[in-house]
Amino acid sequence: MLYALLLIFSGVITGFLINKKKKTIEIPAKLMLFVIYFLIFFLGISIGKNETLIKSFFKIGLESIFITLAGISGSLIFALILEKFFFEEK
Amino acid sequence: MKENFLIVIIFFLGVLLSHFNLIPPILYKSDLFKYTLYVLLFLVGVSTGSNKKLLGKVKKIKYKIILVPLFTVLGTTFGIILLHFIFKRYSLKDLLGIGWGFGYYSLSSILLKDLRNDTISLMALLSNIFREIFTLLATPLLVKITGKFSAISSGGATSMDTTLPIITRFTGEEYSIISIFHGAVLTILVPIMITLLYK
Repeated sequence: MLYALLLIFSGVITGFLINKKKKTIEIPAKLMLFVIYFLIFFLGISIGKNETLIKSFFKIGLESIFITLAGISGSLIFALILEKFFFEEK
Repeated sequence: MKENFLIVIIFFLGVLLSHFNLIPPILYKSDLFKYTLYVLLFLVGVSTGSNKKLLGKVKKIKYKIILVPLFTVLGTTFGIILLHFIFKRYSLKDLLGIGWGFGYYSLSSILLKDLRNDTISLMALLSNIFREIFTLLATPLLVKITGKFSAISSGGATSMDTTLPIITRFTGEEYSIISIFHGAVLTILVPIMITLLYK
């Protein structure tokens, strides 16, 4: 786990340095997308092998939507608080 | 937008190919996933560190801008904790892991496959895709009912890219800066928070 965090932060520092030299950052962005494609494909493979998961796909999908709605609802309430108490127009 | 659509297609392509046994086992019975994930985490860091929009704009706007992503994190966490009182099939940890994807479905699902299992990973994928779709569809309504910040907040990490155009259109140009900042902060928080959650 520590490795994961170290990698993220060393990435941020590397990014800062690249930014300073004002070189184009198109390459990491494109590379990142390809890495994501690869990993998502891998994830698909793993899930396709999982028979029970495939069978309960719709149930799981429905549960996922509940989780999203709960998260968004909480966010909306807090956004309202933010606007009322911290960003009220003079 | 086009890229995101492709991510979903590639995912289902993987599901279909392996479901019908068209993938050689060597491909998935290795540590390749883990190491590629590490490469991805590094790249997520690089893209945040080299984000010129992020730093330049923070200086121009008041410190208060940091409250916007903070409140999104608090709000989503609050909503998920409430949900857990009535929805006990999954542990609070897993519900938070899914919710803390903040719409960044590719990274959160990939991370949760490594840290947790296929079920939670799939749920994170679906749940966070839905967060993006919801924001794209509901932004005009949200701006009217719960205010401009709520649209940004609903977008989560996507408020800096996929949902930015619709948010900008309905909240105005000055909010687009906040929206980009908000999305960028959440984008880097997603891997950090999910990793710390399962530490």
